[in-house]
Amino acid sequence: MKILRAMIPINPQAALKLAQMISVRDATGNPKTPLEGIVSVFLEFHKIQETTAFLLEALKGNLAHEGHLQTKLFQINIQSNPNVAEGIF
Amino acid sequence: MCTHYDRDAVAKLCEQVGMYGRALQNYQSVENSKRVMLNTHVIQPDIMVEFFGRLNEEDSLTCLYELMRSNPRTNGPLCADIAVKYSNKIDAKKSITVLESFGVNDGLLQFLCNVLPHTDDADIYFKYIETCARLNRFTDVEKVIKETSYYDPVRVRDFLMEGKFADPRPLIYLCDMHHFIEDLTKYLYQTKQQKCIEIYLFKVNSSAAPKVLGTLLNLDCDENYIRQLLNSIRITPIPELVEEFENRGKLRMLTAWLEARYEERS
Repeated sequence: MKILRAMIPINPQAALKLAQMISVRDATGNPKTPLEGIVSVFLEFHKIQETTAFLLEALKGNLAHEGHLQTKLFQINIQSNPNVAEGIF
Repeated sequence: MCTHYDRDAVAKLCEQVGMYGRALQNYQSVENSKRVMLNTHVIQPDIMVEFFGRLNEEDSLTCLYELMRSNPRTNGPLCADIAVKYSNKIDAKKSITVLESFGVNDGLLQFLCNVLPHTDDADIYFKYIETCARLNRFTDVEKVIKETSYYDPVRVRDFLMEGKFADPRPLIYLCDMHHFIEDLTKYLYQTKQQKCIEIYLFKVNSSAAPKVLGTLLNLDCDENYIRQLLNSIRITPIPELVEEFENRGKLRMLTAWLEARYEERS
């Protein structure tokens, strides 16, 4: 997470790749690093686009207990980028 | 692909930024939906239709009413579409009440045109005739009078007479079909539409002449005019004609006409 935080301002694209690597799901379907933490780090730097890309990929399974993250995904986009939000519905 | 998000929270955000269609799709309560749905100019019709699919009859009617109230002219056709689409759920007569409550007839007519083929309800037929007449669509009135049998002829007759409409043809056909010839004659004579009496006798049904002329005699119509009408008719049931005149002691008026018919035969 420290590395991620350091990377985001310098190279957000690479940071996104790293985030995806460390959040790969294990055999029971849980992400190795909690998604919430990753999201909040990206948002600290107002990286809406990367957060969106990250969540879209991570939430593919449409899991009930990740509903709050789906809400987050909509929230950040409706406010800053309604066209993208429209595409997520 | 996302279905587990907090719908009300997302809907609220959508409403704040003017994404009213998405807000309508996501709000869970009728109260909130009722507010955003009024932005019809930016909501896709299919989203609106889908929204009504989630409502029960009572809520549907309330929402239709609100839409009509906010802009009867623009929303009339939309409301009609919805009422047609959910006519299995929303009682047609209740839809009619809502659609006509703001004095705009376009949506109402659209609805009626769509439900008419699927109903035999005399009230709905009457409403259709009434709406068409108000919109001066007399050919449609005439058509439904001639081609269907579900309306109440007496009610329609009284309506057409009281309305004093510019085009008397629907009334003429109605009275002819349902044997209201005396009423028709009386109405046309008293409203000074002699021309229409002539059209009826000469173009529509000359066999009604005995009844028409008999009624005119009752009304103390000018006998010269009655003779004039008579002289333009060749074919009509003679025994009935004789009876009508005889009953009123006016048989002598027929003499010349009967002689002419006799001449023709030989």
